[in-house]
Amino acid sequence: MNDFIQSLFGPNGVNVWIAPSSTWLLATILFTGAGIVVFVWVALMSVIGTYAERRVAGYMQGRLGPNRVGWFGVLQPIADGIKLLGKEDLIPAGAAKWLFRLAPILVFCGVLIPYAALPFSPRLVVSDMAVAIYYILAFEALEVVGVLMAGWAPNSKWSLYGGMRLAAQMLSYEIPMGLALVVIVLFAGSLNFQQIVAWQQTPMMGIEDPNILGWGIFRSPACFVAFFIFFIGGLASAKRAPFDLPEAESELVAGYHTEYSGMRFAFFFMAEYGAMYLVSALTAILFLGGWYGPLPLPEGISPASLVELWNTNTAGQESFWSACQAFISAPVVLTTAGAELIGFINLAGKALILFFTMIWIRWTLPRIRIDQVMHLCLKVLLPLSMIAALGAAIQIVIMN
Amino acid sequence: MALGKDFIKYCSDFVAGIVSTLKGMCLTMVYFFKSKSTMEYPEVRPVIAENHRGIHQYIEEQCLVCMQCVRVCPVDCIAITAIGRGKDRLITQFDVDYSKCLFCNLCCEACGPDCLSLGREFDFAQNSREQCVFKLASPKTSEQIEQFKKEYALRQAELEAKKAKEKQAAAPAGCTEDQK
Amino acid sequence: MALNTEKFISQVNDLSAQGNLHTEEILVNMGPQHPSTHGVLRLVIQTDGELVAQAFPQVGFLHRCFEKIAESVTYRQVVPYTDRLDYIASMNNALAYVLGVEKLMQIEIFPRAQYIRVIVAELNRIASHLVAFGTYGLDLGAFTPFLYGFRERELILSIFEELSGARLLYHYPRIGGVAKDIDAKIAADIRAFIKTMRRTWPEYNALLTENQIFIKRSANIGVISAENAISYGLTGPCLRASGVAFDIRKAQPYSSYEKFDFNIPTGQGTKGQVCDCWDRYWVRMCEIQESLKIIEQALDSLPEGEIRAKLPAVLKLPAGNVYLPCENPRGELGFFIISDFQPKALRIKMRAPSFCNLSIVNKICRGVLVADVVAIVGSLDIVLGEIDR
Repeated sequence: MNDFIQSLFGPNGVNVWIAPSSTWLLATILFTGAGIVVFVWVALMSVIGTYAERRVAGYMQGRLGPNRVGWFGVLQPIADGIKLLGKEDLIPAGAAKWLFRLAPILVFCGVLIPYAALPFSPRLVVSDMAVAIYYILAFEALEVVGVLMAGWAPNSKWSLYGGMRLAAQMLSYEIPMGLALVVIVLFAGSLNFQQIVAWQQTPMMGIEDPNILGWGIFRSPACFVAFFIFFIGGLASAKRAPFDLPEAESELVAGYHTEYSGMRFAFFFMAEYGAMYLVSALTAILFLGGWYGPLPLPEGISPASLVELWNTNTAGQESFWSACQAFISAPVVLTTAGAELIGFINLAGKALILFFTMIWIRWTLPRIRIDQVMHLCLKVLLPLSMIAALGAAIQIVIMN
Repeated sequence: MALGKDFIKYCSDFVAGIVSTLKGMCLTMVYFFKSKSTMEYPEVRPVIAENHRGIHQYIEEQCLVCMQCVRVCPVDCIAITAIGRGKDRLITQFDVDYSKCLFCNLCCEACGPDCLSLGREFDFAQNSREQCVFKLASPKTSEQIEQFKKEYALRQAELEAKKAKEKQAAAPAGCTEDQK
Repeated sequence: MALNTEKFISQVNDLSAQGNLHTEEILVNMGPQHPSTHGVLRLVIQTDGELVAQAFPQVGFLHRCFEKIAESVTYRQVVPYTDRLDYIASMNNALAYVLGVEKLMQIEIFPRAQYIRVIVAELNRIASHLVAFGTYGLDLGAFTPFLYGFRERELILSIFEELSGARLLYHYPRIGGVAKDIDAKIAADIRAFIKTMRRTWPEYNALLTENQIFIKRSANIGVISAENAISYGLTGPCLRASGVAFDIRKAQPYSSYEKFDFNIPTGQGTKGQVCDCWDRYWVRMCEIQESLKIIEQALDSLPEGEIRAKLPAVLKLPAGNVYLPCENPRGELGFFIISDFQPKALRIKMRAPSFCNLSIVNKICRGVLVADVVAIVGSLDIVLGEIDR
């Protein structure tokens, strides 16, 4: 049992923070607790996302965004949520009812499940898998199934068009995204996030602690190109402009989520902002150093060592509070906590800057037509990503 | 050779795509930091020009009930009822139906005594069509109307008597109904 | 990149005829309410999969009986109604009507009034082209240029508010002249606007015109040859984008347009073929620059004098008919007025430029993707107010 949990969550996962036990009950509590934290984070990203989108859009267009509800309008997403909750729950006549209900759930799960492998800071990750990148790419494909379902279920020809186009777009862009990831994986030698960030911390060009210079994009021209390919692929996969034809064609005719109202619609949008943050965080970890960023990280100890320290320090203590005091008084604990905080700020800061860039791109560029989307993917990004992968392989061979 | 030309176009499109995207993004980022044109209504009211054509401003004392505004209105949105005409009158109704009014200013241009003008008030939305009929004349009680009617009748009778006397004085002596 | 649509359609038809591929044409309804802000237009599109086979525009949702009303009110009372036809270019509509009436009455207009009419007509042309620019960007998914265009348009609307008292439906050109004179403050505001517009015009190019995605969405789409343009009765920027340099302000000048020096921009096929969507859009952008030139010349050489001729209270036009075409931002606008010496007209017929421009939609929408239909309709720049009257 213990081995199973260990294999599921990895050496740095959430299982380390609680003393491993062999009961299924504890495993279930671990699952649910971690899931709730991640869900809250995705919801928070949606809330911040809707607010930031509308304010940034307004500022770029020479107007203020929403600033009436709450101080500077920060309660606007809450008002939007309450409005969506109050809407009538409509299922079109002739629709496939259970598929209709299932589609937003699948789309949302396709975004939520990859968060299990996404670290928030050096030692805070739900599941530190050895195949984390592969896991994330694989489960993003679940979103495609959900989108196809959302296109088929409402029994509307325009939903079908929109759903199929979107599925084609999302699936196709996974290929250049995957190849861009291959570039990084070739250099880092691992699919695991901890090791990828460790690779970006290795000395380069004679500098011991390269800080910004050690980031993925500076390690090789192939990585530089792969960064842009991955980011553009991520934009397409998150259905963001300029690739939002399926959802903004709903301006002209129906799109895949027109028949959805209320909270079902809200699920699609939470999925979109969740996917945006997922792609931004992935890009930050793989190409921009993750938590190893502009702010210097203090040295800390591994989670396993922390747990051992807790066990030894609190062996003879009477109450929980005295145990905590004894634990915190150890200096290495404080530096570890500091490392966590600074690492989180680094990672979230970079991810949010990329999040802002996605919003910035949306409000600058027009929409691309679907056949031009496919042209861009298959005739521009795919050859470019193949060349980048080849270049990475050649560089590795030359360097060794 | 077609292959070479296509490849050159491919590369130039690629470069043009990147350059134009970056130019557009720089422009929007510059505007991100510039001052905003939003006017936070209703706390900040807009500056309305002097001759803005809003709701009518009606000076009842000057109105002579010449009915020019009623005649010239293209949509017949002004309704006037009054007892008497000219300076000796009591205006019981001066209604403008703003669900029909074009704000074209023809009524104000046609007004002889210059008692009607379009003012600067522009936000007067109502909840129903009936509420869109604005009553611009001050309300008169039925006692006032009755009182005025009596006095008006007296004044008219005096005027009639004066006119009859003047006619008799103007007509030569001895002429009777034949020359009336 | 061009789609080989003819070959594709014939292949599909072959397979279908052999019984190997069951295809069906889908009838899709766009409108009358849709967010592409052209008005209440209904487009019934017959699609063969992704490609459009036919596109039928259906109009009439905004019909307000203008021509019938014009028979039951006097000539002066028709002028506020003309504002509401093409509500974006209100000055040009009223100008076309009052010029027709004045021609039938054979009265001379004071030169100062003529110059002022030119100034406001050109300012309204710029405002209308800014709306066309903004809404075309919106149709293609670029949300920001719309607001930048409206920022400049706000300056024009403020000038018009000082001048006529209203922001959209001005009732400013009157039979015999104009309603109010331009004073020094308004002239200074107009000059300030010209300066601002010249400064921000390159920004629109940076954001939309030169954007590669915009070019890919609009070049080589909706190509109208010069023969088709003339035979379908297209006028205005749509005709000039086909290379036909016909502008009524030069061909049959009215209201002292012959005194001003300006060019006629025509489509050159810069980014694709001649008279594709990009060319029509670019002709409008160039016309903004030409209009700025005209306004500057008119302001510099504004003659002194009266602005309104004294006319009798009841206007009775001599019996006869008149048609005087004018250059609306959308094309040739003309009022055909038949009078029989009564205070009210016998018949007024309006030739709406957008009505003829819209008629070509079916011909040029064959074989394009559905997303392109929106781009094509947006590039024709129609206003339903004047189509439906």
